[in-house]
Amino acid sequence: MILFILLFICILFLGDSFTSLFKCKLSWWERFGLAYGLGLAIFTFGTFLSSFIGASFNKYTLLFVFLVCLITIWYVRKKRRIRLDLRIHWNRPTIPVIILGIVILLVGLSSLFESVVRPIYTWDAVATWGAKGKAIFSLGSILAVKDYGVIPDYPLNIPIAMALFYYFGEPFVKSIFSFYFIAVLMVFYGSLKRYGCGYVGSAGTLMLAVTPFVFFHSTIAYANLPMAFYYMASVIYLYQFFQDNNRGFLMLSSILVGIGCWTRAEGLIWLFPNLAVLTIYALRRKQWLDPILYLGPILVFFLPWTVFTKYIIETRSPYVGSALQLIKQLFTLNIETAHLWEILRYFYRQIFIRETWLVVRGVLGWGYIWPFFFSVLILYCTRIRKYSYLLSIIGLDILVLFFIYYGVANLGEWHRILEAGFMSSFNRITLYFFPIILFQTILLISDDIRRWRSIASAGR
Amino acid sequence: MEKNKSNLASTPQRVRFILILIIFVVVFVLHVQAGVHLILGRLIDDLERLGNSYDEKMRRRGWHYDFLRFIKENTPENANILFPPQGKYPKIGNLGFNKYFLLPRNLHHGNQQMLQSLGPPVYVVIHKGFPAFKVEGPRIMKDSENGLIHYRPNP
Repeated sequence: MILFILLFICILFLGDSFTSLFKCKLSWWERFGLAYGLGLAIFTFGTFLSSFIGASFNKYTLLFVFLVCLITIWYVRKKRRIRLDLRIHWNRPTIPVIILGIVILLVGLSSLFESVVRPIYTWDAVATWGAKGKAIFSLGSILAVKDYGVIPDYPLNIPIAMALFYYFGEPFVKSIFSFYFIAVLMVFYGSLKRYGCGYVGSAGTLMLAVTPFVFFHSTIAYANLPMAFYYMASVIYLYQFFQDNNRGFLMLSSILVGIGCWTRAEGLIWLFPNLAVLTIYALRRKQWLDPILYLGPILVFFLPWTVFTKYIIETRSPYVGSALQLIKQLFTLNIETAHLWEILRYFYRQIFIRETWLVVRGVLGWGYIWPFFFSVLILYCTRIRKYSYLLSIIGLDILVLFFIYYGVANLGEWHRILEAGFMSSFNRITLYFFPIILFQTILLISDDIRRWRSIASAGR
Repeated sequence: MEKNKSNLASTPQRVRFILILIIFVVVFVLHVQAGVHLILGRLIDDLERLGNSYDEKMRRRGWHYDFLRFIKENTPENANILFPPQGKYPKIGNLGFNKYFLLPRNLHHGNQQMLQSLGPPVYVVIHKGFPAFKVEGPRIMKDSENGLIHYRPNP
């Protein structure tokens, strides 16, 4: 247990040191959340790179990777003259915020408890992620993914993280996902707090925490919640870049999208909404370099894995194949209204009716968040302009979701998809941008509350 | 200044603000109540089964875990094991899933030709009509439908 806590502290320290390189002003909530997500991903990526020089997966390699990562970060820090600031700037919270904080903490602990108590049992978690993690750990080689687990071209952020946690026993392995869940909540709340959404922000964070589908994914070993963490954080910091034009946030967002590519094979597809809106921003501000800068860090994560899959485990490229297929679909799109209508109907059922509007049944529900988002959007239609960038990203995310399924439908697998995988995977992909929808809703409400407060205080 | 400020708060805006507050409170209460109810239900379920062993927890999921455990107990770690094809047997034929529990054994799909290409020790899974071809060697049965054949071809 002590060793586990030590490893956890090492990951946080690595992540926080890395985050500090971007010179962004972040609340301690965000710093903790990012420290976990970034620290773990850098550690797994460093371990993966070590396999290129023939290093096997063992304690000594892990220690070596940790030290190399740390020394590199410290070297860059020294070069850029960035001081290490481990101080936590704590503002005294109010009673309602403390109460909400305790409830959120209890939800986080419940997730952790469930993760520890229940073994890895869901089908994909065992076959896709668990088998690879266990094979890397047991056989001491990252190359084991070639023979163990299904879909060898899925990136290895989660399997290597699982292999790392296997040192402490199987119950600890699933805690990775509960910590991601807590990290999602911390970054979500910390960012809302930065925009002055104190009470409403903590209420929104609680709503996110108890959303059945989000909570469920924090207790099973699927890579969708980690991907949601990276994508949500990337959009939030890209939005922050649009606010203050601090390139540190742009780079942070880019790194997070890059790590998304290192977490899920479809990570690259989710780069496009961000990149499209960033390009519009860059054109309006005449900052031509920004979209190119944004692509740089992504390639750092994208290229080694592409080389590894193509030349070492000799399988198809995970990103290029699927992305090219989708782009081809876009140009040769044969609009079939029946398919389009079916997706729309399905989307409507998922967000308004199925396990949502009437009653939350089972674990597939989004609760009441989607109807809430659309009602707030309609009521604040006059303020959409202020949030045009964020809303554009959300709109493009929904379009990407539609496009993925429309593309698949055109591949002739329509009936199979509808019958088997549609329901589960549609929701799992929606999970990537679901927190951003709630984030936008809370921003709109907080804006109005602040305005009314200022009117009330002026009236007095 | 004060007059200007209060002008900003027109009646439709007041109505909208009140409406938003009502929606927010209602959604917050309903959503949190439903979510907490669900989480508590799962928590109670876990607490009730806190003393269960790993095997009991896996058995509860309804997979073919017991059969995989049987295979693990009856084969050496360096075994080559021939499984039924996944197309016809989607559960038992899912090698990705099976490998998690049978690591580091080598698992294969295939027919008689594949069987002959494998180096010893070789085992063939018996499951609902599989294998449909003749396999020589002693049988270890778990039940009437599931078992293993330790493949030992006659010289």
